[in-house]
Amino acid sequence: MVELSLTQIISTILLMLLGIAVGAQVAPIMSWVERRQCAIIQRRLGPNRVGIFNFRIFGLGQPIADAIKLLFKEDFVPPYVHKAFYVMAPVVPVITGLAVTVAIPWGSHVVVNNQIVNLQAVNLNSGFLLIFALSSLAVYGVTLAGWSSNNKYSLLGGLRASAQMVSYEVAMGMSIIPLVFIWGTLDLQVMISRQSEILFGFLPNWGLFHAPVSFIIFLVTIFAETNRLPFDLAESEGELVAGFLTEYGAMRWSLFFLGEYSMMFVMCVLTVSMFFGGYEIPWISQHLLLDLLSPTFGEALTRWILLPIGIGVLLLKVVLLMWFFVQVRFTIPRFRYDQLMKLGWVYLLPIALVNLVVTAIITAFIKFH
Amino acid sequence: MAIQISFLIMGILAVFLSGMMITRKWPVTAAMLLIIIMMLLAGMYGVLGAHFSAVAQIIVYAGAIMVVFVFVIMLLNLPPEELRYGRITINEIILIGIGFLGALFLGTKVGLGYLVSGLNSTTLINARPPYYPAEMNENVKNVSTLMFTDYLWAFEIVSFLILAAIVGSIVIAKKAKVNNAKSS
Repeated sequence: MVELSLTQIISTILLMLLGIAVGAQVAPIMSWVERRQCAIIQRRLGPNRVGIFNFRIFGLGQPIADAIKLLFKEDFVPPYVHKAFYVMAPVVPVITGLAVTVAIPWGSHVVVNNQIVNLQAVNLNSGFLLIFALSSLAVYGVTLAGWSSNNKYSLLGGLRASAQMVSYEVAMGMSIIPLVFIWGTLDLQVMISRQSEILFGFLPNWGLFHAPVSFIIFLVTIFAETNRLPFDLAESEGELVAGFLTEYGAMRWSLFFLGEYSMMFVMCVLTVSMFFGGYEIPWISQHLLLDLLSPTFGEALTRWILLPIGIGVLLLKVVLLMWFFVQVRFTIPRFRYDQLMKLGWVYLLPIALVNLVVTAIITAFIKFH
Repeated sequence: MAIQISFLIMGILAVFLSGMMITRKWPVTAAMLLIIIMMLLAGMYGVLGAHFSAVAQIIVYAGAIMVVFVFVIMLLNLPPEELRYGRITINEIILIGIGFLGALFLGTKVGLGYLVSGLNSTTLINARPPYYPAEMNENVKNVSTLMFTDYLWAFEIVSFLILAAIVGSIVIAKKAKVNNAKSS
């Protein structure tokens, strides 16, 4: 057995902690962003007052105030619920949502103690499939919450969530396979480094330009996977009170959102890594920067300089994509349930299959990798 | 050594939870235990270095098939009082006995194999550790190469069988609809 060195163990743990810390911060910040964006769309002001001491900073103190409020609320468990599952349900999305952050590629690699440290904490040879595997488990939180609440509305919400998840996961998987053909790997790091090249002399070699159909299908399905509007049929306040959330309150209620937002963040990171070049700056690849800066700073130091730049670029792209999520949420109304199922099975799946076959034929003639 | 220990812990836990699963009264509890067992199996594959099998196990079984199971259980949503548990018949006892003996036989055979031949000669130990850089991306490659060369026919036949099952279920569902329409 190959022993892992202490450096590698420590750096892996630190990277995991970085992922979990960022993933956990997404929920409070996004809740503020969503309320402000909603207000802007509806010509209101939104939460803009709560600050820290006398600094208002656009109302960014609001998430802290919300968290304090939620923590000190009475933790009420209705007497008719199935207690064990009721308590367990909110934990499932949090665990899966935070666990999946370990597979985020933050950068290429750095050298610590003469050892190469991969900046993707968990880099299995099955690559990004790990993210799919963990994200497909998050739905159990919703279904369990729906069932254990012992409430018809909750149960309907849970049922809808599980049916929706199964329907959209098929199209999602199918939409990603063309990218695997094109890049010839499942490894996100390899994909990202391929995308740093330049296509036709002026476009960045992004997955988006190679597989635009895949991108559209994938984008639609991640809305459904993360239970976001227009696909939040599991909550759907108009018909189901609050769906699976009906019987939940205080911190247990917000735990669902913590998991949901964390999952949304990871899905955005996955999209960015596969279609938008991940941590690479368009046109200026890290390889180029490394060649430019290495003579003055030395290779090891340059890699350390590139690490925060890479993280910054990745987060910038992810923030733009998440802003798009918010924009869609307040622009497109919720689907009806039959429309949702029709979209998934009648439109997305056949399109994804045709896309898959066409890409397979093209890749058989043109070698992309 | 860490590999063997975690493998053993997960194996024992999986067997224990399987026993729990078949004795639960609430179907939802049983389904949840089954999900945990699936994940333990995935963990066992992962510890052996078969990452692709591990991830596929979670995606296919825990992530898709069990979601449908849970969906159906919740759709019916029967409390345990309404589920009629029949008495165990003598045939069932015999079947359980045979199964138990078979498991015991297999278990002791494998277990004795361990003890006799020593721990080092088993495949468990020969499995490569998962995080060896040179082996990156080899696992998926090996699986797919085998699947599309040596086992291509088996693979195609299995996919045809599954297709037949899907078509069959559609036919059955359609028939039931026609009958309902006639009776009403």
